[in-house]
Amino acid sequence: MKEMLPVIARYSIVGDREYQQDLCAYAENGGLLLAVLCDGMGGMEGGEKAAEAGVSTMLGLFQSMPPAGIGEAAAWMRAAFEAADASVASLRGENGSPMNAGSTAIAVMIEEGRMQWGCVGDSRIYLMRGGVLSTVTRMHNYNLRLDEMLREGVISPEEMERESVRGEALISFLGIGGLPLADTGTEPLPLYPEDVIILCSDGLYKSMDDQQIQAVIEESGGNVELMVRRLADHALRLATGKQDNTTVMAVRILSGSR
Amino acid sequence: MKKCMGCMNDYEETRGICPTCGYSDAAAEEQMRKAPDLIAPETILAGRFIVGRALSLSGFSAVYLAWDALLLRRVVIRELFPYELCRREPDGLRLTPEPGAPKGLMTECVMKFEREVSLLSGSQDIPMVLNYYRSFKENGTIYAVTEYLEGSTLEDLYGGDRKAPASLCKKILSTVGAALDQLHARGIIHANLSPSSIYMCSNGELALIDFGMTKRWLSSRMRKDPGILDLRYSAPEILMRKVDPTVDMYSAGAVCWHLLTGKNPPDRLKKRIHIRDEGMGRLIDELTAAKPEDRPESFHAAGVYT
Ligand SMILES: Nc1ncnc2c1ncn2[C@@H]1O[C@H](COP(=O)(O)OP(=O)(O)OP(=O)(O)O)[C@@H](O)[C@H]1O
Repeated sequence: MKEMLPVIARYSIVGDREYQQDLCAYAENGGLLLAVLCDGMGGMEGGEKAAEAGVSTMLGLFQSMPPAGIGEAAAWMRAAFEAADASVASLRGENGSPMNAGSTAIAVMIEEGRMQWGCVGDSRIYLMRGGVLSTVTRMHNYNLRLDEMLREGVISPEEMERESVRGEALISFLGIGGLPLADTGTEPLPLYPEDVIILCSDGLYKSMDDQQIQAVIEESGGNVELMVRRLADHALRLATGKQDNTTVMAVRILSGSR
Repeated sequence: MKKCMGCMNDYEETRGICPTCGYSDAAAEEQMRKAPDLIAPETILAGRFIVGRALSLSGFSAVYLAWDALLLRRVVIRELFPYELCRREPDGLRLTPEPGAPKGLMTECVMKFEREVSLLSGSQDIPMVLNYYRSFKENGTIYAVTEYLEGSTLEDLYGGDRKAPASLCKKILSTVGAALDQLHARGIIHANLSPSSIYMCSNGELALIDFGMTKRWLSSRMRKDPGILDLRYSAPEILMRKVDPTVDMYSAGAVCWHLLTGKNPPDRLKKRIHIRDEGMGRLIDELTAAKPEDRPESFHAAGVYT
């Protein structure tokens, strides 16, 4: 029987930051593969703890209460994001006061040549297929809101410009307490051999444009270990200012046979 | 600002000469006068790579320093350019088959080169193997884009009669040897290892910069030695087209022999090689045994690394 085998690799760099607030992990359970990436924020260790809570909540649920199949993955992800949101919001510091930390979360679930995805915040999922790189997710930041308001005529272009200095502020993230936005795909996406799925924190796409990311993916010759390492290294090299934490996960679909 | 085609740093155009490396437009013109067959500096390939100064032109390929305008880095571009098979068109770019050359041989050569770079691409997880980026076919030939390394080949460093310390030979055998063992395990035989395929980076690390298969194939296809294969380091049976992994043991041994003695390795069939006293001498002796079956099975078996 022909089957599609996902191969996966991950890589993180601290960049020019003091703390590593990115965290990613993946796990398998009954023919399903789940990959999760969280980019935490919040002073001191807050971000790190938030990312950790996000990843462990999602993976924990995946082990204890996985979706029945990929068809259920979207609903499962929304529930898992909500649980992760609650667990990040409940984080307490040493003195017992709320940590006020947060984290983005992106997730990809794969089952036999089909994929579902989910996103909260501004980490990003790309799909590279047949030489075309496309962005799967949208960024949940103030710019998104401003765009909407501009389109609806609520604000003028001048107001938009004035406001966009705060454009990168997140409007949805784990820990906000009741997620205003949590995106998932609708129907599972069919996958094809040689598809590459990239999950990354903003450290990657803030230093590299899509064309550069695509070139590095192509030049890794399908070797996912090489791909994630080279992507993070290029991000660090191409950064114009200080490089943020950067985490990259790559899943490549191989055609194999059982 | 002007990008220097000699080193790819930017400098103030009014200076006329690069303050980093001393390269200038005059140097570029000089290169084109001396070697008009080369692609002129500042030519753009694949809509992305700016060709810089030539690093070498041999009977088989031309190697250029280049600037990757997409990923903003120095790269090396190797252009397949077998002298006897093709010539440069007056546009300074296109290669067309030599009228006298066997029909279809250039096309076949391009295919072999493509195969070689795909092996290089598939071997990127092996330490020591040069970072390979991509290849593209253009202008009637094929180009391979790889990492640019600061440093020199062992040929450039020790080519004449300069001797290298035994410690370098040990390092070559252990690192290049380990890489060759891994290549062999995947069915890849280099068969053309020489001091010009081993690169010494400025940080002291070694790298294997080519696989040399296309070159070997071409030299056997031309039925006469077109002088592109370095026989000094080739196992005797290679001329009989017998190639197994031990030809790489032989070559590595011959390379070390050259580096240690500062002399060309002698023809193994005519003369025994002896470097007295050291264990290195005995090891080289074993590696360069005239008969393949007398050579160690692998570098690991020879005990050069653990
Ligand atoms: N990756 C690299 N980075 C920096 N310099 C390089 C690289 N590859 C090759 N060079 C330089 O280019 C020159 C030529 O390379 P090489 O020795 O592989 O080719 P060659 O011997 O001229 O030709 P051929 O293999 O075509 O017969 C070398 O002197 C080396 O310094």
